[in-house]
Amino acid sequence: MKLVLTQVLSLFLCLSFVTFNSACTKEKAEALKTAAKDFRTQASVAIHKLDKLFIEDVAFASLSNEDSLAKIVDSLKNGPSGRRGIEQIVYESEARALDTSKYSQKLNQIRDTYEEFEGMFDDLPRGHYFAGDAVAKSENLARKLVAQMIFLANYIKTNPFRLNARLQRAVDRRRDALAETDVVKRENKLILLATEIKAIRTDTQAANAAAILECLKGAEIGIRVVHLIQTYKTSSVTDILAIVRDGLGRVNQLTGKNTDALMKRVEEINTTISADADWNAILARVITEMNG
Amino acid sequence: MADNDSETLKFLGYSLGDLQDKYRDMPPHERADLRPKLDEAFDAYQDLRILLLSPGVIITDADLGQMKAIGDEISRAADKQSLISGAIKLVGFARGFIV
Repeated sequence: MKLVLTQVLSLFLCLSFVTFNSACTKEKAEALKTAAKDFRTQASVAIHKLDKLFIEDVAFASLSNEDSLAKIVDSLKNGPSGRRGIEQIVYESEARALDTSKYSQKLNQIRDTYEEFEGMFDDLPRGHYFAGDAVAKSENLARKLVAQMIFLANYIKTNPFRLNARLQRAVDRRRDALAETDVVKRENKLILLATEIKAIRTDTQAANAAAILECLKGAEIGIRVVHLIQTYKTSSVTDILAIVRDGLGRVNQLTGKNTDALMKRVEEINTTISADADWNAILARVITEMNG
Repeated sequence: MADNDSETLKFLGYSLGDLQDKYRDMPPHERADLRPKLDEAFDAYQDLRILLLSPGVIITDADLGQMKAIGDEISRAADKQSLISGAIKLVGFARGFIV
């Protein structure tokens, strides 16, 4: 009896050992959990850039103290009298910023989708063996999140943002230069302004390109997440490490590239994922909605 | 339609920029009168920016529901694995006594 029991227990232990040394190791679970976290982090960086771009797109340039005081004096002389008049002057003494919170809320809606996605994998290392089917179900969601990043990159490219405060100051400087009565001084002021105009153009392109870059990094990391999900049940730990290394390599290659090079990579991703029927269905819907 | 939307956005951006410059150049008591018109122009511009952003919200409420369901499924898998892992350890312990 003791012998039979020993044999049964040994058999159970052996089966369990075999079971837990299957394809779905804890290392692969950790790799996928980390990749989902990286995806969320990078998406958040990209969305933050988009938020900042819009704030700068509609920001007011501050006035010099001298100009600000001159305008207040004008209102004290010519504005409505009484308490109401004074309060009005106080309230509007500086150009009040425009409220971009509605736009920020829309971006938050997008940001939340990456946080929810990351949250799915919180317990994956603890349940790596039995979670294979659940992981497989997350593939299409990961694809959609990659498509979101690609869309945002295209959105910035098609509808770039301005550096509004600098444009306002350029308007001021032009007015000042044209009002200059001394011909030589006027010419010098206009030449300096011309240099600033070129700088505004360069910096505007750089600001938009920087945001496109972050969206593209997000897409590259997301593609890595999709590959990890696709191969979760079948690949070895070595395969997983190769996917992770490849993904990191692609992200590093993006740094320092100009907008055209970045958009070329966006097109490459579009072409690659369009060849896949499931990706293509997602992108086709986005393109249809973009084109109205 | 997409090109038209981008052109409309540009046009609204120019109009908004003109109003912003005018508002900034005014003395405070005149800014109060212009502000409602400025806010209206900004709302139109912001709303179009949001509209153009909307196709990018690809994840639906149903997708979010699915994410929660998958997360729960993985948590249940983790509980199951912990249970079995515990049982294996118990068997291993018991085996020591039997042998």
